[in-house]
Amino acid sequence: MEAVGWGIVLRVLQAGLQAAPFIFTGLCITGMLHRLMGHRHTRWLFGSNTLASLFQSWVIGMLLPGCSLGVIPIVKQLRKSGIAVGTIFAFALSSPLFDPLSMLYGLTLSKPLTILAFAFCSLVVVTISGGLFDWWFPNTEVTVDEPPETPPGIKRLLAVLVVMARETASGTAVLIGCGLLGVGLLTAMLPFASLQNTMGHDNPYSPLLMTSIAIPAYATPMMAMSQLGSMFQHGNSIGAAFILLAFGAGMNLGLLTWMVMYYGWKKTALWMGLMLIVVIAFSYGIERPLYPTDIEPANHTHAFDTYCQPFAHGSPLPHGYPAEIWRRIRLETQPHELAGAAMLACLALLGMGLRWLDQRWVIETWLNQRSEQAADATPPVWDIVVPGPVLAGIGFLVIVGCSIAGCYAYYPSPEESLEELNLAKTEALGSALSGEYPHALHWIPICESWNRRLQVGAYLRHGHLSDYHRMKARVFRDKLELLEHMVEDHDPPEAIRHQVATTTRVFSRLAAAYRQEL
Amino acid sequence: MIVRKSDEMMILRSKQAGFLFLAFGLCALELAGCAPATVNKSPTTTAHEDHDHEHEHGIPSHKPKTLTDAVGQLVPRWKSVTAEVQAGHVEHVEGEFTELLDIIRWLPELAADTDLKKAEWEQVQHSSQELETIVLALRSSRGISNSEDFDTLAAQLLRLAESTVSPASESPHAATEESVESEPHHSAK
Repeated sequence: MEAVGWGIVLRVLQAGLQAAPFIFTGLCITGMLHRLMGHRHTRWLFGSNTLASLFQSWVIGMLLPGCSLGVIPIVKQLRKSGIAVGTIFAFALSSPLFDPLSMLYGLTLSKPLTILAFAFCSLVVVTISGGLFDWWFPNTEVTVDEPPETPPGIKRLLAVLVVMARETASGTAVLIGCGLLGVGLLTAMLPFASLQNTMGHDNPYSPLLMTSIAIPAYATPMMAMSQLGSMFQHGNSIGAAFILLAFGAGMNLGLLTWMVMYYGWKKTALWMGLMLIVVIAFSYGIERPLYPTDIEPANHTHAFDTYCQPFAHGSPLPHGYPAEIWRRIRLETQPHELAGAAMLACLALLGMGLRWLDQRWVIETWLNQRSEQAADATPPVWDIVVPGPVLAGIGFLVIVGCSIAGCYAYYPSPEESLEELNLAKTEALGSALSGEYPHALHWIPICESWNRRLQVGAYLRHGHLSDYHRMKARVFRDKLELLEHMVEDHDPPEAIRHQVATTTRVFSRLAAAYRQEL
Repeated sequence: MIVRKSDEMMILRSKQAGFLFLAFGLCALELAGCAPATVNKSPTTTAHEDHDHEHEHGIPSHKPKTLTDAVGQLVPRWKSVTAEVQAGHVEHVEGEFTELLDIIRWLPELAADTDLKKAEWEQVQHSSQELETIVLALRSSRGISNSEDFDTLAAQLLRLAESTVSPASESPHAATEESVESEPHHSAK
């Protein structure tokens, strides 16, 4: 029981940290929509209650980086802007599916066509379910007064910050908490490593099992894409992979709670029913046509371990659960996740401070006030007032641009990736040799991650990746995975030593191929 | 305290959201039936465990260990299926056809586990595709075989395989901690 409790703490913390940068981005977008775009221009951007608006929302969702938790403040804002529910749901579902980082990752998998097919399927899903929903419920647009215009200048930017802070310390935080609670619930129910032999291509129930896991689960676009990659690699069910993307990345309990609270039980159930019918029908439809033929299916995968309890029963930790949780968080947390969490903490503090201040002084009153001096003075000719919607448009382009630039940082040059991979490989293989198995099991997935980043980095800089380089990376990945299983099963030291020697040799060939023949 | 109608609706819907969590809790309970994977095996492992790992990864028993092994099997297997097809025993060779095609499709992967350079590897890939076409043609036309082309391609592959160091022909030296140490720093070009 203790292991389950601490397991929930770890999984919720991991999900919260992974979501932090996306929630921050979602808050930025909300602030810009509210204070710079205004309701009228937001309705123009997204459209409402038409088939075209579903496509517009899907395109915007695909372009903007987000996750299913980060999308919560945005959908709240879209509702306030008087947008029909079908259009809002279309955005909510499509925004968390892909971002430039995950798209690049997907396009360098062995079958990029599958990823493009998934993207197309998601468009069809939102069009069918959104179109039918708006047809059945045509009057879901609420009318909310346009917020007062903030004078241009620093006050206008401050107003965006104030919206972000207020949103952080509002019901949005509760809804995000509900989403994270879903992660905890799933962890409590799924025993350690219980999904390792599931989701087989030959099991007709795989898509249904994935549906029950994916809805409460939380996955960032990148995490969902890497799990998809692992599913393709292990010859798992393609239908289950599509459901993982649609519901695992696109949906969570926080978003469902928001739907129930604002649109009622009936409408939410109908929407979910529609989604389930369309997505599950698609998943069975694509199972055979998209299944890779050059894969030898494995009946074992670690891709879904992250949804299960992290601590095995009967394997006590030497320093206790809190110390282990701290160790894992410290090792696994990426710098951008830490930065996101720190910024969210600052926004939450600011939001709470503003709520306390509201009893004496409402900051918006001051922000919306034009200074008398500025009103009287004639502005210089070069002092052009940029309209709010233009500023918001530039803001969105900057967000998209930053996420594209972020690809170059996340997927460095092959030379740099090889150096990182070399260090990780030394740690993994060295500890496998010396019998430090937990250390080896920590570093092997890091090697696999750098092996993928090596391929994407090369693709990003050269515009293509040859079959030769893909195959070299695949052979290295297979050797690492075999070693991982041998270490897990405590194979004889002699066998592990032989596998380490083989893996070292394969790495040397991989490095030579990427350094000399790219 | 005056409660507005919209507040009442919100409270009601919050309760509905609570039921949503309850429903998911119950659904998830069903998942609790998933059995955990075996965590710790006995340290007294036997030789067949290596085979188990291969089985876990779906590695069939007819998969050759090296490129040389694979290329060496091509001509005998091809002759066997050709003879069976010409003798009219088509229905008996379906399994042999499948295994031969598997071996042909594994050639690029096995070649990537050698010292072959990119151009040579691409030659293996190209030959593998041509061999596959020949075998598929035999299977579909039931009797017309292009044995000369097959033999020529197999001979080319054998030359390539023999020119390189494949995993099995390398000294099976045991890895030491020094041998897995980081490579010397390669400065960016």
